[in-house]
Amino acid sequence: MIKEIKSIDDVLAHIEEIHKSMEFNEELFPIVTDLFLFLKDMIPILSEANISVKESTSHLPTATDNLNSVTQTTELATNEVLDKIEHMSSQLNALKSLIRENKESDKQLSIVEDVENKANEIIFAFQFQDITTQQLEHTNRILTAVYDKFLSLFESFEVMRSRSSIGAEVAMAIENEFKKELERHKEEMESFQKRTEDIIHQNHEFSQEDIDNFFK
Amino acid sequence: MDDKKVIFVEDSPTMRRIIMNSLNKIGISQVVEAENGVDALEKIGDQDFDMVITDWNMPEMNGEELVKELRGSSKYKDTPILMITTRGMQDDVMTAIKMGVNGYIVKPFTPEVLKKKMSEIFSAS
Repeated sequence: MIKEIKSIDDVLAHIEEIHKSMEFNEELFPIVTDLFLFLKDMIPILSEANISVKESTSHLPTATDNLNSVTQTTELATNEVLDKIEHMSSQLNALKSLIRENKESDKQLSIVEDVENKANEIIFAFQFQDITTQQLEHTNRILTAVYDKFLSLFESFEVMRSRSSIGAEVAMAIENEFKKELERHKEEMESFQKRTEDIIHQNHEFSQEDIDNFFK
Repeated sequence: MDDKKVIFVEDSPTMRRIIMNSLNKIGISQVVEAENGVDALEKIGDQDFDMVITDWNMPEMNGEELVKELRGSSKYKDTPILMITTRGMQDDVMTAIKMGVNGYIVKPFTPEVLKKKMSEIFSAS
């Protein structure tokens, strides 16, 4: 009687049972063995792929949120600092006039105190650096975990390829299909490449001097 | 508060400058800074501190581990501990209270908040 299948282990146990029941057919045996070996490798990979995709899909929005938050926090803090510096600059101009005219010493003192307060507020605004660093570190941990998951998936795929001839053939077939898909969706792939392109292009080997040389 | 001796533990150099700046403004001149829990324990050694200010997320030994370590020692089991952290969830605050911290500030904070919280803690201790 076929046992109820509730988990991957049940599937594998079921495959093993079928495998054993076919051992007496000498001609079929090597083919079936190869097929069962392939199925045994393939089922956990499919299960793992399912988990990897689900986990990555659930965590990547957090990474995106973190990056958006970093952008917002940085922008807010930068604007805050710039506002305060502009205020300080205008106050210092007013102070300069008062000192030149040598009048209103009380007002001069109050301007100095105001500038001092603004300077202190600027110091505190720089806390954004610590906050954004932690958000970026979290994003980095998420992306590294997703990368590791997929890397281990690809490694399992390679094991499947080496353990059975059917596995090798299926791996080859999947790769061929992938190449065909790439060709078929070339435009989409190019768009993906474009969307994920690094627009900053920070190439530290290319100096300002190198750029200036192009203009000579 | 000018007679108080404080150690603060923070891995971010920017935050260390900010906290040092505000502690000096509050009038606390006896300040020792540490980069993480391990560094803090080394610097604490046999010295007496009136307050420990610590971040939570830090490498090597985080704030949670440091607080547990201090609360487990006979010398520092009652020393006021103020936690300044980016962790602002209710669960985090509850965990911190259970660890035995005396005050909790979420970043970003203002010098006024730091001064008020420190005064409250010193008055209560």
